[in-house]
Amino acid sequence: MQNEIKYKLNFSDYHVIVDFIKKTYNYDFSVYSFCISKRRIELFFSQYNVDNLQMILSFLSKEKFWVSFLEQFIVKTTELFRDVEFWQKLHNKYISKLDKGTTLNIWVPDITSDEELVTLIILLYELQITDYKIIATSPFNFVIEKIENYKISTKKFDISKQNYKNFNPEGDLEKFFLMGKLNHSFKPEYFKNVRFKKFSLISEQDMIGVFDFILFRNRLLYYSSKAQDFVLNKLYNSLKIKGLYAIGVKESLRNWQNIDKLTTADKELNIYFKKK
Amino acid sequence: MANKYVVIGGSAGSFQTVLKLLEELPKNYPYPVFLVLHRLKNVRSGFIEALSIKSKLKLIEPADKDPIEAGKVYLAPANYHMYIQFDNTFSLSTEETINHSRPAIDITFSSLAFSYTNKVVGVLLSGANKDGSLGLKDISTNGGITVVQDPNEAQIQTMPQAALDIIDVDKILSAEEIINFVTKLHLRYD
Repeated sequence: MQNEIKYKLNFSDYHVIVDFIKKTYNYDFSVYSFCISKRRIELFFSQYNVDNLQMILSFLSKEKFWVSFLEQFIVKTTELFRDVEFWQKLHNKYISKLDKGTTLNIWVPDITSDEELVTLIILLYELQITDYKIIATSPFNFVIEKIENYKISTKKFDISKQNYKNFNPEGDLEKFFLMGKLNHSFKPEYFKNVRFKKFSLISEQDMIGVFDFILFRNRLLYYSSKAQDFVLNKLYNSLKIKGLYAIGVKESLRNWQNIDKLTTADKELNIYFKKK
Repeated sequence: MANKYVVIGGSAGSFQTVLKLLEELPKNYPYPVFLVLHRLKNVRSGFIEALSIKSKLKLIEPADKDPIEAGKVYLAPANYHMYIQFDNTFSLSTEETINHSRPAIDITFSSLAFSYTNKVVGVLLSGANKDGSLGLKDISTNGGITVVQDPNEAQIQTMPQAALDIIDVDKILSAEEIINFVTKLHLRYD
């Protein structure tokens, strides 16, 4: 998305838009972090030179446009092996603690583009762990359809390649991809233990399962403080005793009411285990 | 809530000015100070330590939703954008880079302008791209104070010049004058 904003929303505009979306599509935007959400709405509509609230509502009322808006609204993850120290710790220390000779059940909620999922699959491959099941969820069907054919741009791949080199100097990232000119496709066979499912952390009442490991890095950021609490409780309830839980290095559990129910494994990298 | 929110954006050529400013800021400085400096995204340690060496104020790399306190210096974390919310907390994001930068100065400047309007003092230092100019424009539009390092004095003039091209700023100062202005801000406005 471009940077220059044509029409800046005020509080009132923002709440009108949130109410309109709720009423029209039954989707609750109030769960998102205000500042980020406001800016992403502004950026999206700047592309169309929209300069008033009525035009925004008019655009949003068209269902085709709504999907395109959502596609740009959600924040994609940035690169493979982001925060190399995290992946190294996971590789060298924490995943092995979970590997008890039974199927490893992993949940990656709120996937978007999704480099975190692909990084995890590569890490498990390199650990020679084959007996695992990953469930990757998103509230949006269009995300799931895209992820099943995961492609990474050559630019993002070059950044990722550098990260991967720091993770495994001997490794070859290209072997996991079908290399193209503009994009590289993740080889479909590596997705064989992954199931994609539509699931909203906010609106679904049922649990999706109980897991040994929940990978939820840099997704909590996009929720409001109140919604963060709700989401964290849902994730906590979906984690097995002694299960592993990871959030982004700059995300925080300090406002979460149940923080004492987790043991901190690595404070700096935000890795936790569920207490007995 | 603080009476003023001081935010400083810088890139190539700004490090020494920031270091000197941190050395000069008094221990009882009454405002929060936000630093958005372009930095290597994969180097998470070392930078804050280097900036802290001579600072009398505590430097913090905030986590998402951390509260903001007066008298502390907050450094935008590597590889995250840093928003300042109207409830006096941070909101971090991993959104797309802006002008190849994450953290982007524009994002912190603009979010502060929206949340704290005329309480914001925005300072744009030396740098090699145009990040910060749109955010500084927002600070100006919302009634805040805008300060730009004199391009003739900046090590790299692209960033301050880009701001001057689109805003009628309140002050164009040398690095020494900026340090003097920021450190004595509370004597002038409180």
